[in-house]
Amino acid sequence: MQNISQGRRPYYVTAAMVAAELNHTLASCKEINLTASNAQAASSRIGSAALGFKALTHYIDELAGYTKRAANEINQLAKEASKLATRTARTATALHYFHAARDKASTAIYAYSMAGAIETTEEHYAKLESDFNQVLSKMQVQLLDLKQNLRSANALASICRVEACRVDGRFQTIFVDVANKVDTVAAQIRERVDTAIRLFDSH
Amino acid sequence: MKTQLLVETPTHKWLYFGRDPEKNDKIIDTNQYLVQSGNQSLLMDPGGIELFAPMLASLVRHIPLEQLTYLFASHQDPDIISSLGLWDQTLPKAKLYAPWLWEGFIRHFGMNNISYEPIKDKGGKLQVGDVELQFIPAHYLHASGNFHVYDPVAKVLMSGDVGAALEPAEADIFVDDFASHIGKMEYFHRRWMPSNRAKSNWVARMRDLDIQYMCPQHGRIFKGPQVKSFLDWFDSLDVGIGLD
Repeated sequence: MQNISQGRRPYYVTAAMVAAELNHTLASCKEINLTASNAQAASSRIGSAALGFKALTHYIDELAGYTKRAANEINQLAKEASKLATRTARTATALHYFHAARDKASTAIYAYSMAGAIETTEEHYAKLESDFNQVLSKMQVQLLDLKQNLRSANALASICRVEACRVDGRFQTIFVDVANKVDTVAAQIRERVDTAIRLFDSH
Repeated sequence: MKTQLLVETPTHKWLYFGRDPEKNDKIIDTNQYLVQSGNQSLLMDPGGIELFAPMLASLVRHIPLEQLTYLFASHQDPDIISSLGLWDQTLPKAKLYAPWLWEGFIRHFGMNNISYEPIKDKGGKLQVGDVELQFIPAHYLHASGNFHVYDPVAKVLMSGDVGAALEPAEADIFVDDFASHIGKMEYFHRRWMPSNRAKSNWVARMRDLDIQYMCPQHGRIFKGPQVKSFLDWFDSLDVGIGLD
């Protein structure tokens, strides 16, 4: 892993960008929730002919719930990472100035008295960097998990289409629309997650 | 950074720091002052972030860091105290004396360790080693919450932005000819000082003090009779009109 203060852009900016991407994901999750609710309402109206579909709405809801929880958790991690990276950058700046002062004061009678502050700050910097790297790793693992789980959305959409064929032609459009919506929103979320992963990879 | 002993008494001394030759030309030159007595010291208007390294390096030529016990910020400007976040990591046990009015603002510079000691509007006192220093109200000169530091024993007034002059960083640290110095101070005072009423009130109070050294945060130090010359000049200057 690179040093936090290096890279093409500061890590605290990357983490903030990831948090922003995941915020958009939360909005998409709400859309899936709404889609599931609408599908459930439509199934109830249609009655026994749509029983198979009604069962699917439960899974759509679950998928939305999982995605929302995961996005929230990753979002929290991204915020924590951004704060840690900011503090790390500030501590790195302090170290830069401390080292400059130490160089300038090499012949000063009380130069030794700076050692304590420099040592404490170096230790603090190492701890921050380690904490940041831990949060970053956790976040990357969770992003990949989320991406993996979103694959089930495609399967769910396909089953929705199959179930749509079984209901009366008048209602088929409603269920095909639900399938399409699940597909579209899942693709949007995947895109956001991919962007978040790319943001770290491109660092 | 240039360092000079200003005054030494049996109990304490005043040191001047400034005119850093490595300073970026685009940032204003600032003067820092240190009162050292026994095992305690007060650093006044410690300066901006850019000045931190040379300031720290200069300090340890005179005192060990554990003896820098107090910081003072006359007001909230970045050239006064934007280095606070760095001092905070250097002197975790130090205390910062600054106007109560600016606490919520000054803390934006980063302050997790140093304790903020708010100075009330009417001013206050601080014992540094064997010397008692006074925080003199100088509100609206130029900040709305603003203090100067007076030492009645050494007869020194740290006057913040009052008496400041704009001139090249390589200028001498003492005023040589008061009349020719006026041209370097006039615009600054007209533009930065917003209130004639506050100015007159301050001048009247300063006339009651015995001041042998008046030490501004920018420009040159006034000595002996130059202090009275400055008070007379400032008293008659119309301020708060720098835009005409």
